[in-house]
Amino acid sequence: MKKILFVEDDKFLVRIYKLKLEAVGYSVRIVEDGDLVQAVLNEWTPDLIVLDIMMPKKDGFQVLEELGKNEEMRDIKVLALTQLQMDSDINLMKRLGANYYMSKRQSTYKDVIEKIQSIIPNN
Amino acid sequence: MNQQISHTQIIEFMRSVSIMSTSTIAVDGPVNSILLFAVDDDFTIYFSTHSESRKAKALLNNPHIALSIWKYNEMLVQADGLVSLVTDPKAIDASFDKLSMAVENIKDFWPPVVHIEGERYSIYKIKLSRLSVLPLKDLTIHDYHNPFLSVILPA
Repeated sequence: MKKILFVEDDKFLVRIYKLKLEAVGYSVRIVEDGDLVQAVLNEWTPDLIVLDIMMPKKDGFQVLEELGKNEEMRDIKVLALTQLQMDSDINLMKRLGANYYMSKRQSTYKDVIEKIQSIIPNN
Repeated sequence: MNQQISHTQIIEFMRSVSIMSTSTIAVDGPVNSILLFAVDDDFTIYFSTHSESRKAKALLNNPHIALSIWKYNEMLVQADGLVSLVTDPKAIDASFDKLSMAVENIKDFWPPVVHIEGERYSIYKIKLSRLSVLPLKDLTIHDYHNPFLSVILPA
């Protein structure tokens, strides 16, 4: 079973993502801020991290930086899912190691689920 | 109609629908809304809406709410009660869990509330003061009595 870590501070939204993705066969863990990512990764290695960027305690840029510095974690695929749409922000996400980018303002929930299924097919 | 219906049957029906029509009272008139909801075994109902929505403002003006939950050929639930804002962080978390499970009852459904940025919506709960039920499957052609069954709510 493919594993996904969802990093998203919208408590309601992230619970629904979890249930929807579990319904199609993924194992999903959620954390509600970037400062909680490391603790999960110390004991559980996901196939994909879906990462919000704007979070109150530790933002997604900092999370990407830390992942990049860690040899064991830098190969985990990252999908940045964010409201940020400026080229400079997108370029920074990619430079820091985000493999994929989706705009919350331009993607439907179905798009996100389909993107995840295309990145880590669950079969 | 002489029919009994258990609390469990009503709760199961409500959870199977998970969408209710609500009416609230704004300063400038009535407000009707369609909302996702979750319900506890004691009939406490939870919903979420944009904190600046017309119904949220109506509830500040008057916490009374009336609601209907309906499914064709199955059941109609009508109720009213008082709404309060859920503010305790643990209770908010628990409410999100319940509402998420309610979403799961409806295939491919992402409720409009999750299109609102997280910090801009609030969780509310309804303590019911009256509940009546109309089972729709077995309605006879004529009934001289009110076909609604009044439900005694848990204390």
